[in-house]
Amino acid sequence: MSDPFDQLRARHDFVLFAVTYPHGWRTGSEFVRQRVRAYAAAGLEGVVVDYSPLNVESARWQPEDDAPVLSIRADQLASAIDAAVAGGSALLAHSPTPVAIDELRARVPGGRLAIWFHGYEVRDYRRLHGNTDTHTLTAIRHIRDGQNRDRFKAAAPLFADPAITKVFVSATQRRHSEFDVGIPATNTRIIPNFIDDDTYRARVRQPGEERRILLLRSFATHNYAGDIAVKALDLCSRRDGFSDLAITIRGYGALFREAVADVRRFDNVTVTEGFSSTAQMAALYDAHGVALVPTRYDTQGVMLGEAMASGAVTITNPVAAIPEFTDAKSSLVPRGNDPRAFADAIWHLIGHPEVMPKMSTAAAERVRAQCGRDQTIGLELELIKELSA
Amino acid sequence: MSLHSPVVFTDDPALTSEARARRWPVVSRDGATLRMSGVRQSAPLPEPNMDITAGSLTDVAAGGWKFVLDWVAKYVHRPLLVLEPGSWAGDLGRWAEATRGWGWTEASEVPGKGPSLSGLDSAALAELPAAPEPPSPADRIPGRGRMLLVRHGEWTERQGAWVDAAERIGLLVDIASDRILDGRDRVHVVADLGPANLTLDAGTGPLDPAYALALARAVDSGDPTLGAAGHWQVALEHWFKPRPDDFDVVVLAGPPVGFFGFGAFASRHWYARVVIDHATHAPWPADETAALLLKDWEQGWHLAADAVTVADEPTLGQVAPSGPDATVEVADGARMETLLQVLSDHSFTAM
Repeated sequence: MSDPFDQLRARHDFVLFAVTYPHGWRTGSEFVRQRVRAYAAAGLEGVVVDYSPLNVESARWQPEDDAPVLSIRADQLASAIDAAVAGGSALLAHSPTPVAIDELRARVPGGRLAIWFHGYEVRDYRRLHGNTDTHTLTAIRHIRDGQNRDRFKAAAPLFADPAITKVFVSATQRRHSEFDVGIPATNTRIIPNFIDDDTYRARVRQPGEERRILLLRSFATHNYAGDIAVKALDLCSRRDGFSDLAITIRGYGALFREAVADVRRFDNVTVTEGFSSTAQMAALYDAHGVALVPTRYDTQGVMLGEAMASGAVTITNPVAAIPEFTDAKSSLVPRGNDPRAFADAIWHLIGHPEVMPKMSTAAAERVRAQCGRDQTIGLELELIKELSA
Repeated sequence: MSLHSPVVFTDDPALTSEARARRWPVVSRDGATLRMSGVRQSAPLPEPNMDITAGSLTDVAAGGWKFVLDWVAKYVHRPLLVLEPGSWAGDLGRWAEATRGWGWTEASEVPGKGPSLSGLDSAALAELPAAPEPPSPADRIPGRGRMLLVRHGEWTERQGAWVDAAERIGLLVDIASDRILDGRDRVHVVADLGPANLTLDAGTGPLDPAYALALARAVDSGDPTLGAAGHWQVALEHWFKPRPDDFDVVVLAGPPVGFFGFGAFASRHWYARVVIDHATHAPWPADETAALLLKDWEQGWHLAADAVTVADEPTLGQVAPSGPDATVEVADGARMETLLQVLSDHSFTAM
């Protein structure tokens, strides 16, 4: 029987290690697969190693359209890394666990390794303090504190190692991570997630479209802040003219039903619970003039970017990294965690439809300039080339 | 006012005599048994001391302590537990107050003589003051913001300064306090019963397992929940959760700091802006491990705050920052006013 690691030992343009990767029935980390797809489209040949803790079978290859995926058990990670190093490939790692960080540092020549951090991996969990109530936090604090300790302990020598490239999606994320880990990060790149302006194709919104409002958001945890937008809509419902609006709320998650309970009763509010595919999301943005994208914490705000790319006029909050990715010309930015201010922002648009075309255009242009292919995938392709040299 | 029947928990002969002279029942320890004067039935003593932090309300011992209170209730109508200072039954009194609404009080300590009932009225029945009427819900009033000041211990001038600053800019002020405050309106008196606060939602049975385990871990690590006001946050949430109040700004005035975790609740429950104010700041412990632990806790509290303020420059350097962009500032009356004005302002202005 052939050794499943043989293929890893061959030279590839890249070997990408992911603690979770969408394939087969498994979802999640679509933003990683998007990258693999883009690298393949640029002519790179690579493989993905999925070392999810959910994997129980020994290493086996699964064919995928963009790159073969080797699913391994977590305890096979060291062997997989050794095999990839032997092949001389560039190694890319997304959201590595503390154990994976230690293994990668120990086994990979630094100049061939780049590690991506997307958010939670090197962040104090308490930055999202609203996600757990007191009783729950009391029960799990020791686990969370332990995760903080493990993550920061693994990240500190990594941050200090100038040979290994660390990729963050925003400067804010890097700053917060450096503070939380307690050490400045050397050899870093700030490369945002790519916002696909082909899929989310810009259309300039016209006056009149401010009355078609979309809230498309995860309601899985408190930091997605869907409750702020819903409460804001409820406040708006007391204003004259609310019934002239056409409002769509679509989302899913543990908090969804409770959050939308107060607005379901309105005839002009359509509430649908469910996951949306990329195509569905693009269609929804296109069908609305305004997209509500509340947030309590974001390292970039990919959904905000997608809405902006489509030309929707967005209302969001200037928290965490959001000010790096939008501004008052491209979005309305009422202060965070404030349904009243959010409601005022919505009503500002209703009262000033003349701003729609200018803001719509500015938003799409901003995203194209900041998160287009050249500024994201293009930079990553250059990085991969450097790692392979 | 409500009438309660004092029952004295003591093994001290002199205190027992005083109690008998007042015809108050006495509960005393007789080895592993509790005996009440004038009562044939005894009760097993579950442990030498009742100590909630040490696990007295975990499954094994909780049933025994419940039996003790049930036994007292069987023979004493609406009990008022009278305890010696530092009594083995201290937590029993707090637990009885938290879960059954009983009163409890302490005998005084007479220097050179020991505990004495001399400070307590000798009537057969004790009149306990009725709990202060809670303020009416802090409803939203158009054009007027609302502030909640949360404070613990003796009233201070700085706490008064926060109230004055709020009132100068037209905010309506509620105060959450662990004690009655003379001369102050709209005070939510939320008793601090120490670890017995953790039993407020648990009924008369064992402590919630999550809290019980957290207590055990706290003892191991020495975390600040074991310090002053360390469990008061739970009592505050228990008080405010069912109420329909609506606050724009919540100021947590310390020291003590043990309840500063209430900021996360305020932010989540009321969408309020949170100010954490350090009037003074204790020096960090000399032990590095203990210092790191306390700094970590303080950093966590500050992560839920919109502003962290101190009274003076020396205190500025002592406070643990929560992030690279976080600021800690000195706030006097004028700055308090400006800060509260900004924080309580919900208006949105498009550029």
